[in-house]
Amino acid sequence: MQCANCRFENMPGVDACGRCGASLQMATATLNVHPPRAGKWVKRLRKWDLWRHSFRLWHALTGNVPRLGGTYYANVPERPLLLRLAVPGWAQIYCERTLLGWFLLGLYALLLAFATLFIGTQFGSVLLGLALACHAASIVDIVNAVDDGLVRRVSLFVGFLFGVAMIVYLPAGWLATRFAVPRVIAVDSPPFRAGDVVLYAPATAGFMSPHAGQVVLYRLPNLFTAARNHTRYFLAGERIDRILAGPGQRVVWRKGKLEVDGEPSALAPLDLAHCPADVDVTAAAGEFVILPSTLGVDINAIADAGQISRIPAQDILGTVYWQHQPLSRLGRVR
Amino acid sequence: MARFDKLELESQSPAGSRAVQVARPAADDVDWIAQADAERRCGQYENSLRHYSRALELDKSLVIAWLGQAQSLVFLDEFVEAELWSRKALESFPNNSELLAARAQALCRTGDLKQALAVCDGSFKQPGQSAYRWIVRGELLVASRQDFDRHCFDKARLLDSDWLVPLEAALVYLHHGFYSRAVERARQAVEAAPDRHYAWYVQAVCEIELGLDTRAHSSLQRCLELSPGHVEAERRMTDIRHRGFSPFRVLRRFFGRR
Repeated sequence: MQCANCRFENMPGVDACGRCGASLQMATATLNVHPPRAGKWVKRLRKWDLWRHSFRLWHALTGNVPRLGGTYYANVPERPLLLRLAVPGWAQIYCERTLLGWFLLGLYALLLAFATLFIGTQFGSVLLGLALACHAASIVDIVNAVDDGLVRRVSLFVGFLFGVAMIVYLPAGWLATRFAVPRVIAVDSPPFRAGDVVLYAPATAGFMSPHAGQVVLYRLPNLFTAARNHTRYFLAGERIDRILAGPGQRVVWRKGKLEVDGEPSALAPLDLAHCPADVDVTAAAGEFVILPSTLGVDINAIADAGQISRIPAQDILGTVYWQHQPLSRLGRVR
Repeated sequence: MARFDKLELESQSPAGSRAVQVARPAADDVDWIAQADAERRCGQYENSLRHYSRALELDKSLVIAWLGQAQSLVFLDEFVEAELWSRKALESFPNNSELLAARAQALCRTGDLKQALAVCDGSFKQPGQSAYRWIVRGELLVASRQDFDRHCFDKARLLDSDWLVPLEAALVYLHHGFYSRAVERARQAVEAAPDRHYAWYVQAVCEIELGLDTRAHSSLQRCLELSPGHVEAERRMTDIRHRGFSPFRVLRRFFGRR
């Protein structure tokens, strides 16, 4: 009598297999042969079983680390892994260390987003530094798996970091400064207050070329002005104000009304309270007219407002388009 | 031609037409097992389970049927029941290596990796060789994120050249979310059995998970050519056709698990 389990030939008449102990009366035994079944909802609920997921979490945390150099992670080719170092966490995701990878990527994205929000402030710089540290940590994690000694690992890390800086951050930084350069307002000059941060697009980048109506960051020509009360002012530095007219146009500002080439214009300087009383000026070729309302001094006390209203094109540093700080006044500069 | 009636010609494939099977006076346990196997090769695990039960109604000493039931329950995502059932089968067939492997697989899918490893080790201590044990060992390594799983699946293929072996390895990878490895195994199954629609279907599922819509579309097309009216394939085909651009899918393709 052959056992169905182990194929052992037993003596006839015995109830259980002499080798494995399996019942030899199975064929005629009374047994329920229909397995228990799970209902649809039970199966759905089981998918949310935290105990099962805790195992996955544990193994995701304690899983294998990729190997570079000597004996590296068998399924991970070296070159794609190195390419993925450009994005923090990507290499980890590629090596199936998904949890760590997403953590690094998420943290980096979060820090970068907040750093962008607070750009131009000290806090923003700290956040940007932390984001870069997160990227460096991602590289360290990969490099740390190299079997070789500390010197090779450190030199690899420095090499990869330099490579990432050259390939990712240098072009990204160059590109960012074409569109947005933060500028902190040093003194109160309405509508801005000291400590405010604005973004401007440099004029040299050609992203937004200066024209009438735009709010721009410009450099005052270095000049002494003789005031009516025997005071002399030395005007220099950078200011933010609106361009009222372009090259060759005549601007007449009288009693708060602006006329450009004899036509009334809706444009106005940023701070109407500190505008010069009457100005009649014509911009030469390559000059823009900006009435200096944000000088921080009483412009009416300065004798020749017209002289400082003509700004050469090369002194216009860029177009101010966005107020970034404080967050309560976040928005477009109009 | 009455004189040829008693000739023992090679039987039809297990998945042969139902009309022929129905015409038989009574199916014995071997027929039920064959039908269950055929259903399993079509991905119809519910039918497969039913056929194994019918076989067991006729002969309860069929270890292969108990094992098939446990495996079908695993593929039907009823892991707790599969573990319970394999334990029950092990009471009747103590230390059966395949049943131990089935129990290890069920335990692994319920998340109890430690016990699953112990049971799997017990299975390997038993004499004999089988592809299924190596598949289960591979699954345990996949679940515990150890990097030797492919060797286990390769060993399983060496022991059994059946196309179902790489296909079940693909299903293991699919379950654990390793789609690129799954597609590799599914491709092996397709190469071994290009005329089986289920292999094409599983390959298409892996390709969909990887975001390779064009390749998935052609795999599903082939699946539908081999099995016209395949409901799941048609549904997935419609999904592929009607879904538009999604940035999440693009991100998933870039950052998804490989």
